[in-house]
Amino acid sequence: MTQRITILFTLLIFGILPNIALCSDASDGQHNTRYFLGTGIGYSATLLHDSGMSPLNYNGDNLRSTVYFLRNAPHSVFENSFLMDYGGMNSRFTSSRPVVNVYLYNELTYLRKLTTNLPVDLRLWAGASLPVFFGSRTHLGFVNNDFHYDFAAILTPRARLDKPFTFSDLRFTASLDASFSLISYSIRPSFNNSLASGFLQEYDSPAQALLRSGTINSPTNLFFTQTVSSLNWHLANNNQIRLKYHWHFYSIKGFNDMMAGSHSIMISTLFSFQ
Amino acid sequence: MKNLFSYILFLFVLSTISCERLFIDDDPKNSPLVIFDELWQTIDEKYSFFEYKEINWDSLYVVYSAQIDEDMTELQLFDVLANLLFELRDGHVNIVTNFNLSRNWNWYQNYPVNFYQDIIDNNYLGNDHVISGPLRSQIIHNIGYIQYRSFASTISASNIDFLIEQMADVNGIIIDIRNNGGGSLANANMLISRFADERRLTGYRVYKSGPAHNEFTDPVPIYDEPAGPRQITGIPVVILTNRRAYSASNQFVMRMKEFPHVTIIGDRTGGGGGTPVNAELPNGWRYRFSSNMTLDASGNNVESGIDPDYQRDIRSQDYDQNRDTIIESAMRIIRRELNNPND
Repeated sequence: MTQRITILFTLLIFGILPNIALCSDASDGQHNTRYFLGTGIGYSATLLHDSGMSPLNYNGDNLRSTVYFLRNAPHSVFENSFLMDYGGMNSRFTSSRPVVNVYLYNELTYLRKLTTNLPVDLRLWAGASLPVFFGSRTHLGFVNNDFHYDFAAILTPRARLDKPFTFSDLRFTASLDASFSLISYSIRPSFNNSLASGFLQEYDSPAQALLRSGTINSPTNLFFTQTVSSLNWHLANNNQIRLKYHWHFYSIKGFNDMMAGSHSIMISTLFSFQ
Repeated sequence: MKNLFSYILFLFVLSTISCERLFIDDDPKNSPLVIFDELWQTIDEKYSFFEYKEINWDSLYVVYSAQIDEDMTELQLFDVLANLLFELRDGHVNIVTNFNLSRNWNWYQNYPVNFYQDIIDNNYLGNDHVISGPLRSQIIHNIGYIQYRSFASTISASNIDFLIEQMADVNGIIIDIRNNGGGSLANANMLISRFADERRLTGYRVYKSGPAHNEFTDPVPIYDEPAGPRQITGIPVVILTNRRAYSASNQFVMRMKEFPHVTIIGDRTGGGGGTPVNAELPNGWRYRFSSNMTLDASGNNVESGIDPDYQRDIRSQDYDQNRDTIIESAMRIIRRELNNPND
């Protein structure tokens, strides 16, 4: 418990952070607004526990791919990133990867640069993200209830600390992001079935049944947190190469609790256009 | 300041490595009592027929947990768990291991067989019968006979539509699902749609909505309606059943009997009105159990089977003469309905 509090507090420092000290509205030296489109590929490792599927933990490796849209302005950042994981998972009793893991994740992020009394080359940003994800596990050894899933849309405050620097005449930016959930909307399978609860009664349309299946959650019911560490290499032609380490964890409480965490490392290319 | 920042940054990054393991507990202990408790608890919360079958699951915990010993072997543990699950009297409940399968087959083992494939092959299907996917058929005295051995075998639209075209001019259809132990409801849906005269309410499903034995959703209606290029509705359709017609076969009978031109002949079906779902135990064994209930259109629970319209068993004298009493009865009923359609 103490470790969890420590981690949460550490995340809080970088998550919801009031203006520490506003001393001047100094310009950071960035020039025009730049737009980027990017693609990337990488590897992720997932550990999860889905009580509706099994009392056992499942873990596995995934191929991760991503696409980005990014707008960098002198005092604000807007980013839309979409990623997909695909892989197989084992319990400690299997080796044939009987669970197929597919994870789709889209995140909108808006950050504004804060004026602080940190050293001038350190930049603090704060804002919000809206991650929306669909995680599915198909257990190939099961029949009738082989498909398990979570859908969630989450509002999270987000903070970023970054530091541009040069090394061997090359320009880099190192950054560290963190966010955690405030309020969310989620859909999970019903108590004893792969169908969502809205489909276990008469319905006029699948969309109506789907909307009826969802719940609004506080952070105690759906907890989501993530940290992103990245290193951007700014090329002479304004494109960037990004190396990113992303960790995230979520848990959803209900009749069948669900917890999942994943680590990933990705390399992406961001193409500049104006 | 820079050193402090670097230090905080380092600690923060370090704290996020394998962080989720702080939140996700280790696997449950692989011990006989933990495994027993997991099985008993999951069945207690998610099995659908405790009240219908008047099973005192709490008392069975007392009886069978007393047989659990932390030093027992895998085989011994399997036997105790199998005996526990046997009490559910359900063909959809099994533990699957690499050395055995637990089961309760009393739903057919204590009843007449009423099915002899060699008699059917020799005297009804013959050597020139048609094989359309999993459907074997023959036209006998202008009555179409279709045998479907397992709903686990996929019927394609082309399989059934070909047969319907072939049998366009027959006086009646016999669908023989004796010994059909069930399978995919998608195949049942396909077959029913070719014999449905109009959209009809044909049953209900009731789902577990919570852990209490009586926590269920309201009944969700099942409707069947015509689909495909052609249906058989204007002639008598007779379905043959026996005790080994189970699960998807049971539901096929339940839904088909709501259509006015359909008659059921043979023995009571074996039942199996719950949809089986799978789960795992802390030692990796898998098991399945019934997760919901199925009711017919009148609200009757079909878990223990459906009575035929006409009870028929294969008589020994017919067996000695290589005749199938149930098929012969079906043909007589078809001819009688043709001659007296208002009876």
